[in-house]
Amino acid sequence: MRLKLGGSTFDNVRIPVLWGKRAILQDSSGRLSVVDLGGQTARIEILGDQVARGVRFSPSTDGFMVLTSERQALYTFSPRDRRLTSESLGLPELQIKASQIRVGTNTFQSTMVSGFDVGIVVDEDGSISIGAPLPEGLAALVV
Amino acid sequence: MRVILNSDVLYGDFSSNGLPVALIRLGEACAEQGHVLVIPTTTLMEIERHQREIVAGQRKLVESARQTLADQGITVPEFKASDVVPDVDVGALLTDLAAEIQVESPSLEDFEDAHTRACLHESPHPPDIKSDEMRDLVIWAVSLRLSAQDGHALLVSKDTVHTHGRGDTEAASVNLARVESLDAALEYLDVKTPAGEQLETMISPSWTRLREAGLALGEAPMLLSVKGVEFVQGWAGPAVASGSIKIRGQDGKLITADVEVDVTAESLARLSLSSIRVGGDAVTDISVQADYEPTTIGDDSERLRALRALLEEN
Repeated sequence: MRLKLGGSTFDNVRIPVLWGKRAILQDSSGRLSVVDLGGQTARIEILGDQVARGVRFSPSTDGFMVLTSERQALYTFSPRDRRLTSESLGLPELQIKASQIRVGTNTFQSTMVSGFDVGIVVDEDGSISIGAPLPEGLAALVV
Repeated sequence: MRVILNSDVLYGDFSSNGLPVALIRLGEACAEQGHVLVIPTTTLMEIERHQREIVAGQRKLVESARQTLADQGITVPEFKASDVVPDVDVGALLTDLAAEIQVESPSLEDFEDAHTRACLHESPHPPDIKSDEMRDLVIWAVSLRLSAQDGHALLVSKDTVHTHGRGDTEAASVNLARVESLDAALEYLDVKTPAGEQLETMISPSWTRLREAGLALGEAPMLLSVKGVEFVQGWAGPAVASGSIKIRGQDGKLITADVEVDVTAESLARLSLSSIRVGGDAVTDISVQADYEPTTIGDDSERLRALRALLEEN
């Protein structure tokens, strides 16, 4: 299966972008979803550009902030800019534009990744890997 | 009051998107209320560096596209990548804000203060990490100095050096308030944020019921501020909403309360007020059936189907 995201092509890739422990996916209508794989099971936090059911959040000026059940701010999502900004995850900003993927100050365009579990991995330490196996300890991407 | 901004609330791609909308609103709020936005030079330099890096990345992509076309034998008119992706003049963008902008350079004392804290790992420097975050400590020193000078200031930063409890006592000693986002700064200034406006639409239809339940709202209650607003998403819109409200009620008395709205069915909600104070006096909690009729965001099943289809194909 060939996925297109932010101008890049992901061929035989299960997760195009893994932002920390969160899978970033884009459906056929171009809407973004964010799935947390850090728990025992996968949990959808953003479903097609909108807050998913059961998720605690606070609307912000340019989108909404996803919170934990203990009300800690995790990250902010701006649907207009298609941008994820970490509040407490310690991750560089991620923006999925029509023709490029921006991670912090790094941009990817027309990148081709083939035959890996994950296309682009963004770690908490700021490192970025292209083409990687699914890191250990993450839940299966089943929703 | 001076509102001091750290760089971490100002990241983003200014070349494509301009300044953050929340910053523009904060500028408007500060202008209306007579506050000054302070950009420490440390913050300014960090933002400028960040924008330069983004612009450099964009130009590289443009050059790469030109090379790809040339490799395919496609003639492209002459152009400079710097014309296609111009430099971002952060200073000029900030000048466009409605509020008065003050770029504040650290004093020698600020640097010495930050230097000492970094070297000795003194509060609010985290004791358990190797990094000596001088930049954050300089901004901390500048913020303390400005707040001590004016008797009050607001620091907007999500950095752990600035937000951690280690700095509580010192911040309180000079009346330095701290919030972690531009939206939180708007709330601090009693400006209704999108979150506050959304909660207001859920509360205001129920003034009559709250009045009937004994709350001294008067004939024309005025919702002055809404803070700490949170929602839990339901199947087609918020299922739970909560926050703290301040109302101008009967005889001009201030009413403060924590509010929670539970949407129990598609058009039925319960509105509960707790920790109520009317003119400073505590009042018994109130719970009424709310008149709020939810505006739904639409059934999520189609979006869920689309996501599942994506995963199944893959």
